[in-house]
Amino acid sequence: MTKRKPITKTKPLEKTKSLAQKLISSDDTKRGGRKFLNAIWAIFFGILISMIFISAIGKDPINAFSQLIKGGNDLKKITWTYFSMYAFGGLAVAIGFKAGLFNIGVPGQMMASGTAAYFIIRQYGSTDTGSMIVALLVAIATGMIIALLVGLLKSFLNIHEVVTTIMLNWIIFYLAKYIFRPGTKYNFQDYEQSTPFAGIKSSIFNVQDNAWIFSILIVVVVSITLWIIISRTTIGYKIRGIGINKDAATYSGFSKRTLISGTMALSGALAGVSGFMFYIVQRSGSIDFSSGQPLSYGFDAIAIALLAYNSMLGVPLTAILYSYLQAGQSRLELETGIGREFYAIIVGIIVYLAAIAVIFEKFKPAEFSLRRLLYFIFPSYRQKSKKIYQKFKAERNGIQSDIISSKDFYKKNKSQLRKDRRRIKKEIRAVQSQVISQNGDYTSSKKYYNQISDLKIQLLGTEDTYGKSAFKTNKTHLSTIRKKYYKMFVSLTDDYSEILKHRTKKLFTRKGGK
Amino acid sequence: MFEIIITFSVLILGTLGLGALSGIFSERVGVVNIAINGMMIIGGVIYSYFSKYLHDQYDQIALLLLAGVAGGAFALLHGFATIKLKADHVISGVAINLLAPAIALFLMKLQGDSNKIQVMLRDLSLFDLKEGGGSYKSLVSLSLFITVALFIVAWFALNRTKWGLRLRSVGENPNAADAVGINVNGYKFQGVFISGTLAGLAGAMYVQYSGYFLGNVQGLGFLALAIMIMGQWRVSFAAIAAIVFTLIYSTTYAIDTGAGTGSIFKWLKENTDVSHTIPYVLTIITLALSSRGTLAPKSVGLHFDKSKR
Repeated sequence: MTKRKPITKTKPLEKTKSLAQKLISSDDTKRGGRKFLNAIWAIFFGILISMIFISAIGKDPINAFSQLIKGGNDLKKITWTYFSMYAFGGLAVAIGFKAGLFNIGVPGQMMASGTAAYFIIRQYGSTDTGSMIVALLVAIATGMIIALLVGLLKSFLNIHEVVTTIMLNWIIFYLAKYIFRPGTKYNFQDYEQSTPFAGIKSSIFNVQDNAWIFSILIVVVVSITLWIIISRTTIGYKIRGIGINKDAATYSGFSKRTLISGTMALSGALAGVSGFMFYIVQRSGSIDFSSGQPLSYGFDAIAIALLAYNSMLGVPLTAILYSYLQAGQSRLELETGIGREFYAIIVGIIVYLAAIAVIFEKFKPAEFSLRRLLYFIFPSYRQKSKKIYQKFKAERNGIQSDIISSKDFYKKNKSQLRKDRRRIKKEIRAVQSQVISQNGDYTSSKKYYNQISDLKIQLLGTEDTYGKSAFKTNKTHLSTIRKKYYKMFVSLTDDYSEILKHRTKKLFTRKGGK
Repeated sequence: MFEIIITFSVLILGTLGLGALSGIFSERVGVVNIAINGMMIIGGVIYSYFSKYLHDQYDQIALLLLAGVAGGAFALLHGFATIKLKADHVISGVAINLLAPAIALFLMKLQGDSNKIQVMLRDLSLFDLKEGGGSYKSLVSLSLFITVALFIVAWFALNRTKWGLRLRSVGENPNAADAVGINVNGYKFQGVFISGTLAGLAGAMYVQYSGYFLGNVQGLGFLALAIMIMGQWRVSFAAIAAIVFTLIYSTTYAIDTGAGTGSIFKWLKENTDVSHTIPYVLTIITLALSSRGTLAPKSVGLHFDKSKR
């Protein structure tokens, strides 16, 4: 066991690992896989914390979650049309973030494109597949134009995109509300919403029919296409470059203005699809203004994009989570009496945990179980690690008494130390003020400087006499010892896990060979 | 007509102005704060929740303080994530924006009606809002006094004191600040806490003027963020931006209530939705005409890394 050749890492394993990393996260950093795991842990712990929360208010948490998922499955068709709305909104925000642009204007872009599509269908078309596709294209174009305006204002006039998008959200909200005011051609009821279509003939755009299949398909196709564009083409390279460093475009010679406007337009186009899927397909043409503010689902898109770390392939996954939470909450409320605030709390906790995902960086259950496995398989590993621990313990106990005695000594003299330090500092200040008062007299001030330096040496000396520095050095000594032994332990674990890997590989090849 | 404009703008100036000031304090220490909206909601719900138990008009001073402290405490959550754990500022801000309405809904459910809290403690002013219409008397009001005082104090503290210089240096170049012995994270936490306090106050003022709380502040926090950016991260510019914006904003409402004669006003009165877009359109146009280089703090949105100096 002690004598063995160094084992080189297997190539195919490495290959699949890196491919998986790239698939999961489009941020080309080494920590892509770790980010994915962090997001998973954030969601896991978010659900766990909200379960605790539910049981705290006296409800059964397991039942609540099963009702939520059941609710989502019951309304399968609605859930999956929500899915496309969330996914496209999330993609719109994510692609903006890739270029360093913060598109808060998804609600406005969605509403504008929904309005345009509604107008086209009511005015010129019927609800068959052909005119629905035309309406979809119009929706995309509308979203694109509005976002392009933001991009142009940003790149030519240097207006912050956050301001323009927020303002446009409200402008579009009020203008759409004006277009669909009660008593007009598009709204013959008295509610603050447009009159829905009587029924959409085209089956792939009808939420009661096959719209959910279409919605899944379109999300899959678009997100994979976008992933290829972002990570495999020159344009994507440029977009990412400008997102990582604002001046990247200037230094490498591609037009910053075109890039910003283009990315923004792409983002708007995606938001346009989202708006179409929500207002025309999901709500079959009912554009609602009763909330009195821009559509809140559009703001959820920001959370979806960020939870997926702006990965084009991660966004659909978080969108699934969101659409289940959204569609399942009515059944949840009906069955368990847990209201909409629950949905908001769970989402908030998950996103907050995703934000502080760093705390999961050290959370490695796989490593822990690996160590257990090694204990189980190799008795020598157990012995060696025990030996390391014993050595560490002995060395630690050796200095433990030192630490305790120095700590006691320091604690006893703490107040005295403070008093002394205060006194010396006061003296220093007194000397300093004397220097200031006798400004210009070089010879005397030199004398004072000597006094000051003497006093400062005294000040440092107090730490020694009252045991502070001894306590400090003892402490650092302990931490270096701990680090040393931990390193030894980690290298031991690595060695044994390599052996384990090697053995399993051998086992499989032998079987395959014969 | 001017009376109505003044009355309404005084009411809304507290919310939008203090919201913008909140953004300034946070961003000047280098922490992006898109969570103004969430912090305002916390202030609003705390104010309206506890106003049920207080009936004297002068109790609102204590309530405003409470709302401010609650907002500040809530903002520390944002500070903890962004400063201590070096989380992405925007993600954390979005999370705060999501958590705040949830907490608000929870508190609303606790008090019975989960849709609405009626607030009886309205703004302490010479002019009683229930009378309707408008009056110059509304200029003598507690919210306006607090807003103006806080703007002056903020300007003085940021531009004329040692503390303000250090606070600003942390947002511009934290490593340089660290090199001369400034406690960077301490100042960042101070900035974020002040930001939350101001946002909480702004939320409480929103509730004071609307008279009820519906679980959100109608996105006014985002508008405050926009005003802060219009004000180029400066207290003085932000004050001007807030005043101009609120004046235009309240003019549209004055038109709604029937002030002004002439065919345009009449048409706008009939189509209030169009007139509501005016402040937003004017904002974009003004910004487009007066475009210039941004004065944003240099290290806003970046994490302080001590080893980089």
